[in-house]
Amino acid sequence: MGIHIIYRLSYLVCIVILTGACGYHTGKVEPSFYYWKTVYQPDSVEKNAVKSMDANRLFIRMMDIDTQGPNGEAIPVSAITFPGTLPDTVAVVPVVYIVNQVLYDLSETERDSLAVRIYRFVKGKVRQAGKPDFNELQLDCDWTATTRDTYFDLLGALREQVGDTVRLTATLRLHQVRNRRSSGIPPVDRVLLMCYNMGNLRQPGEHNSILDLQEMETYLKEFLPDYPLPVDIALPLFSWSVVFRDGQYAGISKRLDPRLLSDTARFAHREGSALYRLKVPLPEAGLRAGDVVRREETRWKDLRSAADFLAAHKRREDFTLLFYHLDSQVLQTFSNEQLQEIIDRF
Amino acid sequence: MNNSRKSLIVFSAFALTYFGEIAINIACGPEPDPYDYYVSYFHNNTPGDAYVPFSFTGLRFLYDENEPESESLINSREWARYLGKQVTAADVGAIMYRTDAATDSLIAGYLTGSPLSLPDSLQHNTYLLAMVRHKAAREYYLFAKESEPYAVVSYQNYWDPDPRDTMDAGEMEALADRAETHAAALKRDRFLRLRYAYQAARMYHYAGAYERCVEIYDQYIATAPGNSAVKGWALSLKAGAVRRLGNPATAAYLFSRVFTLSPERRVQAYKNFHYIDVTSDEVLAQAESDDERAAIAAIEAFTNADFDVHALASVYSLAPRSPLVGVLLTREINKLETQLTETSAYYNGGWWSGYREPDSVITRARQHAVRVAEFAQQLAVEKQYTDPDLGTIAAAYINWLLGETEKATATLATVKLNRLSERLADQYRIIELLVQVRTLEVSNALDEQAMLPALQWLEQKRQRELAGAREQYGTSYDWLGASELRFNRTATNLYQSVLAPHFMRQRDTAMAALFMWNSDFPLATDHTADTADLYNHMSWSAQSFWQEQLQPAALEQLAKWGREGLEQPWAALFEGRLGGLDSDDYWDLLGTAYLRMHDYPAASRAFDHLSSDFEQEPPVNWYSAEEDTLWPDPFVTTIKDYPKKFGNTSLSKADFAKAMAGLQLRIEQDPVNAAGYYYQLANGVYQTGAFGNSWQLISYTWTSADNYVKGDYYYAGDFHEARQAAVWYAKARELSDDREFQAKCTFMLAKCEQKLYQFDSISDYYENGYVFSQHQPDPYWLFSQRNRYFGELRDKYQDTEFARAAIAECTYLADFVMSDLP
Repeated sequence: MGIHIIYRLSYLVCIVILTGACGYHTGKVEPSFYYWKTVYQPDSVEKNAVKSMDANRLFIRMMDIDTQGPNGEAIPVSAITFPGTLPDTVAVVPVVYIVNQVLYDLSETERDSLAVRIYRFVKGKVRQAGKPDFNELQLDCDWTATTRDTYFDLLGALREQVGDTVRLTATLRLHQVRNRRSSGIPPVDRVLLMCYNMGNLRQPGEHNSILDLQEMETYLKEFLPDYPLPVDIALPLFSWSVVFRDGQYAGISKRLDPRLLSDTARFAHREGSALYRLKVPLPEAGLRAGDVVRREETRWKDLRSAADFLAAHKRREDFTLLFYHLDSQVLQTFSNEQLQEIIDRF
Repeated sequence: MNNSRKSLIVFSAFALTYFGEIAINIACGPEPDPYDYYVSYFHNNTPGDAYVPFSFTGLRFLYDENEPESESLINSREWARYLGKQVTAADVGAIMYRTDAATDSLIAGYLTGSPLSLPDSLQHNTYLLAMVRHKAAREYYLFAKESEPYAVVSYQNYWDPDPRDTMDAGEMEALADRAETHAAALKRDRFLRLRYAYQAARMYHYAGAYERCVEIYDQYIATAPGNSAVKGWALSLKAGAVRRLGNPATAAYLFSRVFTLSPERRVQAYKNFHYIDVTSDEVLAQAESDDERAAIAAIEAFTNADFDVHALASVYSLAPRSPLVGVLLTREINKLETQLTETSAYYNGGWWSGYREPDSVITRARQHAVRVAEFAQQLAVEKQYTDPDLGTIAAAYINWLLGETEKATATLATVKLNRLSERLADQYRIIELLVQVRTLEVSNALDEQAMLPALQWLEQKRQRELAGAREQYGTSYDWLGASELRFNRTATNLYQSVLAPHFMRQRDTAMAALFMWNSDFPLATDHTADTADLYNHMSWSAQSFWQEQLQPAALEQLAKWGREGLEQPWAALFEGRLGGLDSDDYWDLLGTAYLRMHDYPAASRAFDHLSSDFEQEPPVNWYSAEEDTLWPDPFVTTIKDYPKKFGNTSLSKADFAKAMAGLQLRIEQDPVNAAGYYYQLANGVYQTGAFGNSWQLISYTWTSADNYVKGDYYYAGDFHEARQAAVWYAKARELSDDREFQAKCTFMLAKCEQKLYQFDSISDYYENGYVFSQHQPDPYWLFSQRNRYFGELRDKYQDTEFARAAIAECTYLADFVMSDLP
């Protein structure tokens, strides 16, 4: 009996040692960035970030597709231009954002020709980036129950275009992980889980709509491990200032310098909150006296907790970890070492 | 304290989960319709069509992206005039704007002498025939077609991954040089000289030769006699070139001139003006007249979605005759409507009515309304504006908006209907209708008779408008033509947000139901179809109203009207809607209404009419991975409501009605055990609340907000507040001598009491329903600590097994028992 207990104890110790040694190890992590601007002109900070992270692929948004043609047809919008090419050491993963509206009333013929056009356009853009080809194409779309079938069919048509040698991936929102019955599983090789923009941006209050651990837990905890496709992860690095006027959402102020928020002559800060009430007009930022600014930031502690949460709940498999997005302004908040720490937490 | 903290944590987790859930629910809802997101009766085209794209909407950059006038039509007319009477503008348009590449090539061959025969459709085209005779016109046509690929962006171009500026600029410059040579040579033919000059300016611009573009404009176009539209288009090119040359203020100023002079380029000029990053003062410094200053002020004001009486007054003082005054006045009225019009809870499917504006916002809107009304009166009195009656009509409408019905009538009386423009006369009649409804009495045949012609006029207007939209946009008319369906929105709003609430207040729910049904767009639902699927020919708004508001009497009344007809003057309005209601949807609704009234035998009788294959799709749990079906289990007792304990098998409403009726019967037949039967009845009705596991037996919808926001419908007492359950639990307790049973009933009464913690609206809940600060007690916890039944449990039943179990499981009760509160 005594020996039996000792055996059992030593077995437990072994497990503890093993799990302790592995930490949350979830498989090999391939770090990378999203590049989400309309001109590919990385500055030295951005180039340095890619280099220091040893990223050998860059996920570049090639264009949005929206119904902005002369007669409401789907056309590329804000397509990226490449004044320069990418270094040889970095491959391109083209990303195409499809506005959900494009998928309404799309006939079978229109859907197939859209797939052909997307593929041709992306190939042209990738060539402008200085690359002969690409081995992954990512589609980004916040599909709904109404557009799901059309979107999945479009993915199927794209699969036919790209063939078997190119990996087809699609982005996934939190709720789509949880609500699999209504959201369905996209017919792709892998999905990219976007772990940001998870709260209600337009709702007044003190919450953070960029990264909310409570939301992650609600939507992922019991559901992520069972997701039937391999999952890549994207984490946010950005911050923004959400403006409320007369208690209603007014927009995101891009012109507001966040350093001004600590100027007590201009802003009254509600202690312990992210809310700042403007005391005087601030026309240069398009703000008026009385406007309330909610400063939402990707906080270091939240980013770390999010990484830990995902590491704990993600299946063990090799995956890509993307940061949104490659921008020197955004990168001011986090050092390369901090980004490396996030990668190491997986 | 320890327990209090624990319950605080438990509740905070609960509140956070639910708050998050609502946020997601709202975030996942539909987007508001930018043409119909507030209740409006003042048509934004009342001052005319010239500036409709700049009408107020807070949800889009522009109300309409289409130019107020057609460039192709204007150009075709100019060509037809130039070529003489035998040429029609339609024929010019057909050749110039509506041909494909193959036809273009055929025409080019024909015009250059190839022995080709034209298809029948082109053989008699007057423009083509004229070009055969008119060498210069023919050459210009061929030149324009040659330039076209460089000037026009086709659908294919959008999908060309190469940036446009990599196209051959040299080729464009060569075309521009040739165009200028032609322009210089054509000294007498002003028409073609101007057009070649325009082609030259255009090609230089696209080739990036901006100085040359400006030179061409200044040399050939600025001084050209006449008022051809081409001059405006060329000015637009110069504005763009000037911007590229580094003079943004002048560029913005020139775009403001295009905005005023060229309705066919107005939207484009407006957008270009705003793309340029300069201050108003810099642009105003370039202006040469008050009219120009007024236009710049209006272009700036069109971006302002907030109240702005200053811009209105400023434009009026600078240019009192300008049509911009009427447009700005109409915008201010539409802005007022977003805050001041009464809105049905069912407006637009009820998605946007959950939020109540704070009083301060309404007060501010009313103050602004007074100022706008004063301005409108000034417009009417001073008679400087081209149509001063707009001021009177606007003032009357604002009077109505402010609830000043008599003043509105008096203001309307100062204008003569037959002397008003058609648009103003329409607006007059709408205001008159709105005023009449305020004075309408219930079932007053005289009043109804008096209003009937006006309502029928509105019906005709909306039918005609719909027919027009269908003709223009085909089956997609409802969204492609959405911005133009003004009379339809007026009728919908009048029925839904004025007449239906009016009859609800008069307690004539059946009539309100008819108006709700009538508020649907006439063609949106096929009301002539088989009535077997009642909801198939009802909008979501009407369906929700019927499902939530109609008590059995109203439903029986509607069925009677369906069978026997409605003997009221307004019967004519509902023709086609009123018909047999003998359908599964109807009997299910009637049975449900009886369930809500606790008349279970009557509910059973209604359900007996259901066809044997009728089955209502059961709700599913959206928050589980497999979206499991939620089966009801109404007779179960649980100490905690959450997590809910659902059943394992289906239970239809008819089964439930039968079971409840059976319990009521047994109370009579077996009075000795009545306490137990009452307890079961109470459980049954308790679980049909939003907090229970069987809400689907009395409600057609459920949202997480139903847990704490009051409902404005007749079964809210059961669905939100467990009121009937409390009555039956109390009765059960009264009839029993068993202290364990009494303790259980008392605890259930306490749970019913907790359900009274309700808010008037979601916004009230957000403001007051939860606290994030660690230093403040949770308001729900405070409420629970005043629960009188907790007091009874502590004082009378604390020694029972049940109370001990309840204290162990329910932290609110445990905190209460442990606290020193009385």
